[in-house]
Amino acid sequence: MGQQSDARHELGNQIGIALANIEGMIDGLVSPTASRLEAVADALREARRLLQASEPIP
Amino acid sequence: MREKKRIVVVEDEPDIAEIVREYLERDGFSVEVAGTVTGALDALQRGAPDALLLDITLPDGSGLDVLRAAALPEARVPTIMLTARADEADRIIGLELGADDYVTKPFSPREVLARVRSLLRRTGETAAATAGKPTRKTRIAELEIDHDFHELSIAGKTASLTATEFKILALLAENPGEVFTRSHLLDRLGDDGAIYERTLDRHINNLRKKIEKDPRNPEYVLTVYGTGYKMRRS
Repeated sequence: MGQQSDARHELGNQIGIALANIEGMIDGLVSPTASRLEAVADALREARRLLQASEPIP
Repeated sequence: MREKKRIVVVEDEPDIAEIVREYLERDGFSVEVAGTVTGALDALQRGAPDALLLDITLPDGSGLDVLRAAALPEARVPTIMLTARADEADRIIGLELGADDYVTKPFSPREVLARVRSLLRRTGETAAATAGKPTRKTRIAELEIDHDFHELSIAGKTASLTATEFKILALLAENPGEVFTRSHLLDRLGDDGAIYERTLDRHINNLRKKIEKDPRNPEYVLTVYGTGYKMRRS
C-alpha cells in the first residue's frame, strides 16, 4: 500500500470511529461519558491532522 | 424457540467492532469479534456462523483469505464485506468467493445492522417459509431447483450457489418467461436497497457462470435489453 492510500485508510478509520460512537450514543448503545466523548474528539483531531498533512489537491 | 443466530465480525478497529457488536447483540444476535485473519479463521473453525462481517484490510493479511475459507462448499457462510472501496468490493464479488454484499467504510453501524437483517432475511426466508411443507421443486430443462433445501442440480450434478444467487434463480425460475426489471428483482429479494443495481448484475453474471454452458450466450437467465432479466420457458 502506498503512503497516500495508508493515510486514506487511516482517515476512514478515524471517521468510522467518530461515527460509530456518535450513532451508538444516539441509539443508546454507548454511554456519552467524558472519556467516550474524548475518544470521538481524538478521532476527529487525528482526522484533521491527516487532512492537513496530506498533499494538496492539484 | 431456536437458538440465537451467530455472527462473526472481523474488524481490526476495536472501538468500531465493539459498537457493531452492541448493535447486533441488542438485535438478538450472538456475536464473536475477531481482529485478525488468524482470529477469524479460528472463529470459523468453531463452527459456521449464520453470517460473517468481514473487513478486507487486516493487520496480518487479507480478508480474502478468510473469504476463501468461509466459501468452502460445506460451510458457505453468508458474507458482507467491509471495504473502503466499492470497486474493490465489486471485484471481489466477481471473484465468486461467496461474498453476498458489502458496506463501504467508513460505515454507519445502523447501516451494517440493516444489511445484516436484509441478508439473513434473504438466506433464511426459504428455509423458514417451507418448513414442514411438501417438497417444492422447479425443473427447467436440465436445472432442478429444490426450494426447501436451497439446492440446485444441473443435469443431475449438484451446483454450489451463494444465497443471493440462489434467491435470484429461484425467483426467476418460479415465474418462467416473466420479465423482472432490476428494481423489481431487488424489491422481490426482500432488499432494503442493500444491493445496488450494479452489484445485482455481478450476481447475475456469477450465476450464469455456474449454470450456463456458455455464460456469454445464456440459455436460462436471459437478458431483456433495456428492461431486465427473465427465465426461459421450460
